[in-house]
Amino acid sequence: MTPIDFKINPEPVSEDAVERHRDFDALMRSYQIKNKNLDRRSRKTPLHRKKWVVIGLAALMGFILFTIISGYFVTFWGNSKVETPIEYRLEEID
Amino acid sequence: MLSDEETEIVLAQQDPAQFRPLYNRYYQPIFIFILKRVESEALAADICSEVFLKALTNLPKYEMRGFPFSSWLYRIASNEINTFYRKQKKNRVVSITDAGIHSLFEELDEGEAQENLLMLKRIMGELDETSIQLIELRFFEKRSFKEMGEILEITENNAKIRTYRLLAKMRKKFNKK
Repeated sequence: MTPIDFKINPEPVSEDAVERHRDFDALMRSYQIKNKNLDRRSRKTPLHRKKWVVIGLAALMGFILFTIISGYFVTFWGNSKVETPIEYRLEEID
Repeated sequence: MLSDEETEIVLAQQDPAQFRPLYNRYYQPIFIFILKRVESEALAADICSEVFLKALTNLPKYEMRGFPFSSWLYRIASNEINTFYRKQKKNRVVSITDAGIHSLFEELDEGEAQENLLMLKRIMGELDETSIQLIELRFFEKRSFKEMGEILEITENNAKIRTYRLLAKMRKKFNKK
């Protein structure tokens, strides 16, 4: 739903009125400012997107993951669970 | 072989300072197009300068696809007007003329009574932006289907079909109320 207002029989716009607003030099100035800002923004890379930060973080995460996995196996490798044979357990109950 | 205008576009794509002839040629029609859709001249001037700034910024991406360059500018202007109304949440302005109202009501088989004008306002308020534009361009700006097609980037035939479908839909709504 778009509420609408009618402008009934508007006055035709004069040539002078259009000329008053036409300003190519102002357009070029705005364009240069906008272009400079876009250029500056594209040149400035934020810290979290810098190459060495991304590679460093990936390497650190890989190292942590490797340490966790290898640590798990070093701790539990060979410590197999020794189960009490069933006869002994029955004797204890008796 | 490039036309004069296409040569101007290519030159402007390489050097923005060469945009001047295109700017001078299309400033007035674009300004008038916007002024008919907003409440004041100052606002139209603001939106118009934004339109040309966008056009100049995006000119390197512009591709010639058989539509005139003006249709691209009209598209940018339409988008800017829509953005303005979306942000400001103001009522959409539609410039109407007696002649336009007369021919529209003739198509809708309705008289030009004041209550019909109010109903038209209500019915147009229920339409989407493209439909409002079709009505504006055809009846209040007296544009041909070819021009409408160029502005809306659709074929002449498609503009015709859409307008007649829209009129049929509006006629139904008028009869219902």
